[in-house]
Order: sequence, then structure tokens, then C-alpha cells
Amino acid sequence: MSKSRPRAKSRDSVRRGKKKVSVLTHKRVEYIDYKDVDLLRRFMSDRGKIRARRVTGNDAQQQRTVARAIKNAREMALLPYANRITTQRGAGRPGGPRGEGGPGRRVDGPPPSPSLPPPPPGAAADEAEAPEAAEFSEPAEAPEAAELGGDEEVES
Amino acid sequence: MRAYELMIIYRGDLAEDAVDELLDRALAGLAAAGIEVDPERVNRWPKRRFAYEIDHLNEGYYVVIEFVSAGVDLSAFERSLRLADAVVRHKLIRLPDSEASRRGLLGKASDPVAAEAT
Repeated sequence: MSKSRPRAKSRDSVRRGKKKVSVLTHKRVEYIDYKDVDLLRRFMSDRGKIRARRVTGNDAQQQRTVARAIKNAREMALLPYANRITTQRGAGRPGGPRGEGGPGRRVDGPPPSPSLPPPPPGAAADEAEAPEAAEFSEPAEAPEAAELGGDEEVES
Repeated sequence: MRAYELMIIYRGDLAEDAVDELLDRALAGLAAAGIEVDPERVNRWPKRRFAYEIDHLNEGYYVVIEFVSAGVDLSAFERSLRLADAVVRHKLIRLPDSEASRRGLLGKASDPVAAEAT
């Protein structure tokens, strides 16, 4: 504990938990240069989005200058506008051929043929696995959607 | 006096000496607008990969030029950059006085902040 610590501040920290201090304050960065890509990357997510203030601990002015610097750097192709995370499959490309929904859409599934007899119980068990696999790919996108909501606050 | 920073990206498929020539031409354009550029303030980066593809190109030559000017009209010069085929992108930024004097760009007499600092 330091000697001259204002009481109001310590009370505040009790209420809200640990207050995060931005690296900018910590390292005393005076001018946020858009060419300083390594510094700016700390304020971006892996996807290339600008991180929210509550994550970085920036104050309002810092967040503004950081955002401007990142946007300048993006224009000059020093930083990406978006990074595609390639580990996702299937649901990773919304708005692609998925939305078209023509008759030739179901390439992977068997063509619906009325003359086919109902599948034997063994085959039905095999098919039951398929929707499960589809469900597995969905939670991968869920945290991203949550992140998106946070980031939009920053950009506006 | 105001300090500026100009970044120009030249196409990555050019030869090195072609970029030198183009850069000389750009500096001549600045001189025509009444701006003297200290050759030591012209900073050529090594060929650099773009963060994303621009015009089917994936790399470019980056040049950063710092200069000081008394508010002359640079719109004609910027238009020449925009029209030049070899220039992929350019960006002209006014540096804040504090940063300019930190870099030693602003002279002593004309800038009160720098005069106080030294």
C-alpha cells in the first residue's frame, strides 16, 4: 500500500473489481502511430476487430486515438480489416451458397426418392449421428456473436 | 510551420530502381509545390506484404516522408499520386506539434512549444 492513496479510488476498486490499466498509460505512449503495428495489434482481436475499452482498459481519449490509428493502418494495408479464422467448418461462411437454396442445394444428402423403402433400423441409427455433428459446429460461432455485440459499441 | 508525414505505397511488382525513380519524381512534385524535403527524412521500408490483397497485389514498397511546410496547397500533388499507376495507396497526415518536435522536425524559432522544450 502506498502512502498517499485517495480513499475514493480504493472504494471504487472494491465495488468493480480490479481496474485494468491500459498499456498506453503504463508505457507512457504519447503519440499513437499508425505505423506501430505491433502496438496496435494488442488492441485487436485475432479476427482483426478493435477491442472494446472495457477489455483494453483505455480511457476514452486513448480509445479514440487507437481506433483512428488502427483505421489508418488498415487503409495502408498494415493491418487487416478482417482475419478469417479458418478452423471453422460448414457454418463458417454465411451468406454464401447456403442462402441460395435452389433445387441442387442438397448435394451431401441422399436425393428424396418416394420409391425408396423406409430405411432399416440400422441405417436410422447411422442417420441419427448426422444432426449431432451439425450441432457440434454451432457452439464454435456462439462466442463470436457475443464478441460482435461488444465491438459494435466501440465502432459507433 | 506544420509537420506532415506522407506515406506512399508503390506496386510490389516494380523493380527497385524503378521505385527510386518514381520516388525522385514524387519528391520533385513536392519541391514544385514549394516544399523542401530533407533526404534523411525519406524513409524507405523493405518490400512489405500487405495485410490484404489490393488490386491483385500482395506486396508493396512503402516510403515514409516527413516534412515541414507553411500550409501550402498540396491538392495538385496529391492528385498526381492518386492518378499514378505505380502508386497503390498514399496517406498524408498532419503530425501534432508535440510529436513533430519530439522527432526534431519543427524548428526552434517558429514553434513556441519546441522553443520551450529546448
